[in-house]
Amino acid sequence: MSSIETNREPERWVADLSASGAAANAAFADLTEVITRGLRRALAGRGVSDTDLDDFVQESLIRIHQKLDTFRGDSKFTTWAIAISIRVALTHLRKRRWGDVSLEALSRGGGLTELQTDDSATAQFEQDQERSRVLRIMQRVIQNDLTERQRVVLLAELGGMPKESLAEELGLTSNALYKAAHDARKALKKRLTDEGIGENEVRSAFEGASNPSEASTR
Amino acid sequence: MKYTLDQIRDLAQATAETRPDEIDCDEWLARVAAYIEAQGAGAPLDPDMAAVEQHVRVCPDCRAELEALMRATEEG
Repeated sequence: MSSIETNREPERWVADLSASGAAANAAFADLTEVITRGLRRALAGRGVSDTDLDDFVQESLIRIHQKLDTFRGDSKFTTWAIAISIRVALTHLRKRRWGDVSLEALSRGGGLTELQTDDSATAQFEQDQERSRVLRIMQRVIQNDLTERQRVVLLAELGGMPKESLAEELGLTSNALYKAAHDARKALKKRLTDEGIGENEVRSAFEGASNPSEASTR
Repeated sequence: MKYTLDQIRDLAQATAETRPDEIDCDEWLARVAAYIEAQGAGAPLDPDMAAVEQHVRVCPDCRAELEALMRATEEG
């Protein structure tokens, strides 16, 4: 039977973790157990090593301690803490998967100025009129109506660049980054709506759309 | 850079799900623990929780984090 005390009241977690001495040490030890167990389950099947897991836990403890005054008390403290630790871990894994491709490398040769389709997508779009119409409108908006920042953020994120890397390179807060992407999506949606394509039409135009190689292996 | 059909579909779907007022990823993180517990308890969605659901329809990173949190907190 586990001896860790995970059923503290939320206020006691915060008080103990904010304190020093024996109470804080015990709370940190218990929280370490909670986070480790949570991350093991959350990351199962992702090939995360024990060393990585330990690193994620240590960084999570620091992050949680820094954020203690933002805990709103509307959930169990442990659920909130595990959510933060998952953000820490998946951010690391996203950055690792992306590698060290810079925004400059991504932008080279006009790479982040328009929504170009690859050969396979081009062939797929040619077979579907409504889908092609949505694509053409989105291409026009991205090229003509967005600000430089909105265009770069939208296209880099769409290409898979982690938000955290993008924010660092552009010198933006996560909030400002989100706003740029949100404003870009709002502009896309407005233009589509103005051209008589509502959200249901957009959904149905792309229903069942997926890359041919992935569709054939499903 | 050239985009695949999947990537363009994801952008189109996120565009369709876009709302004038959305919460960002930091606010989503602040609310998701309460959301997942309310879901587990079968509680009705209030506007704060509905915003959590809307956010994952436009943010693939937070969608992956929600799925991971569900695995981390499920019983058994």
